[in-house]
Amino acid sequence: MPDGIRRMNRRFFLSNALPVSVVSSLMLSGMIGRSLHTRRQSAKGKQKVLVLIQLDGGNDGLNTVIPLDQYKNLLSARKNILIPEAKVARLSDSALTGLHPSLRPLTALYDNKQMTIIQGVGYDRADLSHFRSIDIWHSGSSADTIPTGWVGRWVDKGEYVNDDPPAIQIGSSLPKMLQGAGMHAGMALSDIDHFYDYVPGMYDAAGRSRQQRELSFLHHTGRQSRRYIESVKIAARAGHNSSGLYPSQNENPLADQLKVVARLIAGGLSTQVYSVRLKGFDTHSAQVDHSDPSRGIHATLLSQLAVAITAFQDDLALLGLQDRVLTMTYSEFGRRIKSNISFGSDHGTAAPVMIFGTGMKGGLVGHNPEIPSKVSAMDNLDFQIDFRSVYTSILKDWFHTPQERISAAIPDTFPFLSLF
Amino acid sequence: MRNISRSDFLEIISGRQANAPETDAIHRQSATMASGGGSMLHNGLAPYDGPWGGAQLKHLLRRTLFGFTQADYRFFENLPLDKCLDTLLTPSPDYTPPVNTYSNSDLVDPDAAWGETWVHSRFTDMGVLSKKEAEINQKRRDSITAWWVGRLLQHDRSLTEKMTLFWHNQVSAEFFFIFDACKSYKYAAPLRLHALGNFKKMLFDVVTSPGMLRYLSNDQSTAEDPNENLGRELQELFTVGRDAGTGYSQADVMAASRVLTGWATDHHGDTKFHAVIHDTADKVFSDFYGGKVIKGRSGEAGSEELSELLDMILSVRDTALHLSRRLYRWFVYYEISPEAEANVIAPLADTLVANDFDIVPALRLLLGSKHFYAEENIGCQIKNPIDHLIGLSRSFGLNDFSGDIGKQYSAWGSLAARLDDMSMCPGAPPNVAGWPAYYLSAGYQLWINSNTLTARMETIDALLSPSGIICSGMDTGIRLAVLGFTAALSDPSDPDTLVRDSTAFLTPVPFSADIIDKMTSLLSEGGTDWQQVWSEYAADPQDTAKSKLATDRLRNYYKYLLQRDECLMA
Repeated sequence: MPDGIRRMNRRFFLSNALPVSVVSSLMLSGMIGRSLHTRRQSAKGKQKVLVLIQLDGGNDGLNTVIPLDQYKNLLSARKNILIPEAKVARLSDSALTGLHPSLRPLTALYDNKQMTIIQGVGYDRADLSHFRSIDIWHSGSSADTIPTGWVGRWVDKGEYVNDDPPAIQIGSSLPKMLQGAGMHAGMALSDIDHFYDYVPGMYDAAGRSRQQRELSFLHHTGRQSRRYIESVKIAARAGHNSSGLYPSQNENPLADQLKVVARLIAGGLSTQVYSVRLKGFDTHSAQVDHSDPSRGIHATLLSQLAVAITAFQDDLALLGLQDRVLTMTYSEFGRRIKSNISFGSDHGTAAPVMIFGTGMKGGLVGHNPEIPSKVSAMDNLDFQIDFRSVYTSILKDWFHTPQERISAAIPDTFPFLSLF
Repeated sequence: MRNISRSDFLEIISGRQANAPETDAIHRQSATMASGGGSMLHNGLAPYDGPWGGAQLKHLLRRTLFGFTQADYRFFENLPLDKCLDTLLTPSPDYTPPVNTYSNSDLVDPDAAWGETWVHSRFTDMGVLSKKEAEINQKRRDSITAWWVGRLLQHDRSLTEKMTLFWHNQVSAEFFFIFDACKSYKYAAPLRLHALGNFKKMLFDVVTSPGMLRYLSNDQSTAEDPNENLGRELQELFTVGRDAGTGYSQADVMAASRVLTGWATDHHGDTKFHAVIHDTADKVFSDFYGGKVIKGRSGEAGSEELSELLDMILSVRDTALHLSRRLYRWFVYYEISPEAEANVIAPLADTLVANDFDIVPALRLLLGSKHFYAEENIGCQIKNPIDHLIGLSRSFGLNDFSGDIGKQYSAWGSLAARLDDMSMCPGAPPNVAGWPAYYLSAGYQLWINSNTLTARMETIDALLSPSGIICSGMDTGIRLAVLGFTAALSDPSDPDTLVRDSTAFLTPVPFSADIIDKMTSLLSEGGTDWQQVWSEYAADPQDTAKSKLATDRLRNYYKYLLQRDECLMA
């Protein structure tokens, strides 16, 4: 993966004028699935929601949640990128652990028990490949790759009585996390103010040849999209944002995405899982500025995270939604203990997960990592808490998912964490 | 109204169990394979000797070109398979690099006048760019992306562009992160130069291109502190891969990274081997590479280690197998059954090795094999966005902008933006692993979600609307040339023949009689029957009213046809 530079808007060309959408008069008949879905029903607007923030590229955990009791050894391992001790943002209940100064805005949430930090999250025999490791996090399995995602399998076992998408990825492509068996478990959504109307074909391939299998997938995805789009349109129109803390559009890609999420929840969409992404954490070089390790690419990204979370939580509170929404960050791995000469760090292993919301016990879960006094370029942190402990604990205590359905999402058993 | 679980629903619609988790589909024998087309696999890569007709030829052209015109079809129609392959496997002639079509009174490119190429500019991203420089770089980046789309639209009867894109997906980089557009060009040029050439040569040229050295931070890697980025991706993605059972180690990543130290750029942004930062110690590799030691060398000789490294990596069988699987997923299907693994992938890998990784013999073997023409493999691909959009544009033809290079680039740029909406724009893969449709087990289905499917449908609508896809600085938008395409069919005046010919040309999937009837009736929808509409137009093509009536009818018909799922297949 390339160095982290803030991803700019990729619509590099002048936007094209859009043709007037014309809904064809050809109407559908015999739509499979229609009878399975009624519109608007009473449960709407009461569901708990989980928002997953992927810190894409491998977030440097040691510079995010800083083990102050290890500072001396960190200094010898990563002097050129280490945050000066005086600049570390302090937590009210711990003298031993602090945050990157860019995360200072979050300390208020932490002090109010609206932020939980889970230390050393990872898995056994960590894989240092971006693609394998995110696959493991998304599929929920270290086994050689699995075609479905943990959220997808959870969705597959759910009861859905309206046309709202069970899960939404803000962005143009669906991650494996949201792949169900045989079908997408959610929708990818890039623009909630513009939708194109078309009527999907009525042909459904019934056979089992390769061609018919792909046609059947296209057919059902087309139908599914139509239904989802109708629901999202209604919610987007009904919803709004209340916080004035969001930066202006295109300034903070994460804030832009979370703003859409808040609006859709406020609009009454019964979607339970939203997935968003902040890119650029693969900081092999120029992670920090040469002159000031508290500045640079990583500082900018964490600042975007803090600003976005602050605005989102504020928005949820103003909208009366704060008790319904839990937000969690994760990354495919942390980074190497020892920094490199390019003022960056290579791929590592375990890293902290941050959770935001109300009704939690809050505070720190797990302990600071231990940094040896002599660190080689290959040394990595051991993990303390398996990432699937985090998933299953949230499914159990946040969504109150029955054990059988949890097992469908995550087949193996991992210790539950008492987060709430 | 009963509640139904999603898994029940899935079972109903797909006839498949929604139980999780399954094992990896890449190595999974699908229900399809078990129940259906087992026998053809035993024929593997044996030369195809079955009937050679329209269905087989169209299959070959759909998989090897980005759309084909009726003239292309007629060119190949009477040639035997091996002659078709001779033509397809001949590299395209040289091309013009991207040129400046963006200068205006406010923005002057100091290195290239309007209409001249900017790719040789001495412009680098060292240091801080002025606002003007950044703006010029941005224009150049738009220029190279538009140009690539232009290359795709204008390609001849050769696999050159298809293989250029294949290599771009295999040895991937993003223009946005390379940043300097000149470096992006230098990354992309060897992909095209070696498209139908030798894998090792391509790899060497791309890995040492200023674009790749920047993209994977090798220009920051030193003996004292090697950066693992390129050393890792070189093995994980570009060559050996991480298919089941592959076992290079973290120590191999580090050793390869040390070989690569010193490969960076000069202050003009051209590749330069800097001996002073090269690690001159010996590099010892794991048992996976037979414990190979690459002798450390000092001075300029240090640069020779890279070729030895590539030889070592290409000598392990996993590299040939991985490349074979990538070719299979590109040209055939995304699932590789155990039989295909044994009877197709393995012999294809043997051919790559026997020819020292020249790509043409392997392509000839695959594209001329019984397996490739097995009924099961015809029409089973969901087209990627480039196949889809560029294919339609080429098959129909677009309104002609060739007289004005500024308009050409503007039109190509607008199509590039559409491709980006569909998640596949040249120069903008999601990351260094390329497009996930070619490595994740869900395969081609990953091209399609509510977002990208809608983008495709909307683009078809725009291409068939009176205003077309509007491009900056142009009064006419990009439209499919429906009249010209239709006129070339065998008997455009007869609606039954028109529908039969055009559907057979545009999709490998047959339609039911009901749908055919529906489409035929669309041509006559609105009063006058189609025969009369076409005859009157054909008798007097210059008459605006008559041509408009025929165009409107055809647009209505083609929109219905092209927005159907069947037309997403190849």
